[in-house]
Amino acid sequence: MRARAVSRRREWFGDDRFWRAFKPFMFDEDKWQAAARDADPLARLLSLKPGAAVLDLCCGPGRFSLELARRGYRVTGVDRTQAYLAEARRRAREHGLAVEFVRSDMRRFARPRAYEACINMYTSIGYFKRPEDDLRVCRNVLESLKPGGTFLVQTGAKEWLAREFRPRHWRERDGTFVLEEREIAPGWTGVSNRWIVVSKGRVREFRFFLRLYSAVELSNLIKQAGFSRVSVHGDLEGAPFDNTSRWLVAVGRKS
Amino acid sequence: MPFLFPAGRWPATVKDAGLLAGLLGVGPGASVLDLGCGPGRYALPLAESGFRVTGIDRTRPYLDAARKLASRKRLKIEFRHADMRRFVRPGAFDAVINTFSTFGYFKDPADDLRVCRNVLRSLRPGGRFLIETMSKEVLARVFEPSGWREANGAFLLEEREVVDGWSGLSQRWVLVRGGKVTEFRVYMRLYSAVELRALLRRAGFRQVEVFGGLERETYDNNARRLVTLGRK
Repeated sequence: MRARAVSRRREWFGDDRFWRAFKPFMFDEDKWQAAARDADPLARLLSLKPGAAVLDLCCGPGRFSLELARRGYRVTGVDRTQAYLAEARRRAREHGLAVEFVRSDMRRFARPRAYEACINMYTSIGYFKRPEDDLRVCRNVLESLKPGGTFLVQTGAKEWLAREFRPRHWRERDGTFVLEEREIAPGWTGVSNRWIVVSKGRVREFRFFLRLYSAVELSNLIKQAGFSRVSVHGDLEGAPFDNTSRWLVAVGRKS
Repeated sequence: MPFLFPAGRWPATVKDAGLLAGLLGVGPGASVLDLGCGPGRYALPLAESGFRVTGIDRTRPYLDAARKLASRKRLKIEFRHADMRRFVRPGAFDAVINTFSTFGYFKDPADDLRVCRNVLRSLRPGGRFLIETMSKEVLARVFEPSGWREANGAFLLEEREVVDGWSGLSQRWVLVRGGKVTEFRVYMRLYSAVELRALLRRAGFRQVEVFGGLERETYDNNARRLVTLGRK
């Protein structure tokens, strides 16, 4: 395992400044409200039994961890961004919710047969340079699930981005601007992003690459990791994944 | 036929055949198999450019049209009625082409793999297999749920539906000709570039390149077609 040590320094998502800079845009009030609405359909799609143990992989500031805990599930939230975990813990305390938040890298985190379900929400897959690391994550999840457990991935798919692609756009919130520029990698394997944040007279620039999956590709990855059955949906209510879908939701089941 | 191959416009040009030959890395005299040749869209200009062409298709009226045109142009082309799931001629061809979205028609995905394996066997070592098709990424960008076209006083009404988690395109084609209405259901399995490349590699092609067109365009958000080039 030592030989395959994860080099954190060179990876874009290991830069906490990135997550702090874009937090107001990624996790605005609308997103928190959406999580509150989505938690029930999510629990239904995962067929969660009352009190089930759920792993929230890449929990961020805890949008789904907290909503699930509020509904009585025993939640472990894992993320690698310290600032997000601090906020998640603060929010849990404020709402009197017991959630275990763990700082870890999902390429390493595994707790054999500890969970009934695992979720990976809001495009939190495809960050690693090596495609094998995505497979490794799925294998870790398989190991962490009890037999019959479910793994749900919600991500912005190739099919959606191909439809909605804009090379550039910008957003504004409370006097802060975010400028985004995107380029599709040859062969549609992924998307290179350049994000610029202009805040209080300061300009910061970040670049990162996201590996993209089609529904078939993501299903294949999850199956390759050892999940027995995978279904795909276009939202958390279980709508079909088609030309109108904003999200790809894949659910794998451990036999 | 008038819709898929409009009168006077449908045969690819000698220039198109030249592009194709360039991608395939073959010159005049080379033997080329046109898999799903239809009425000879590429078979004819390839033969005109000096290639030895075999065209196979499962639709007899298309083959008849192709033969008629070939004899009119005094071109020697072998047209065969065959199913690409079965057609194999070991080591016989320098290149194989499958163009104009002629891939993914079979109900069983394993048949697509079988076709690729047949092609691999029919190629000589170093030979190339070119697929030119509509892909998931391109369709996602240009998708329209319905539309209609007109040719020779007939109308073709099309209705499209993306099905099975974006793995297929289900189409309803209504043909209106002189007040007579005929309906067809057309299904096509869709591939992303990554998926088609993976299929070809699984079939045994060592090296697979991906382009956005016959002029070696990059396959990205501007691509209008998916072209894969596998090498034996």
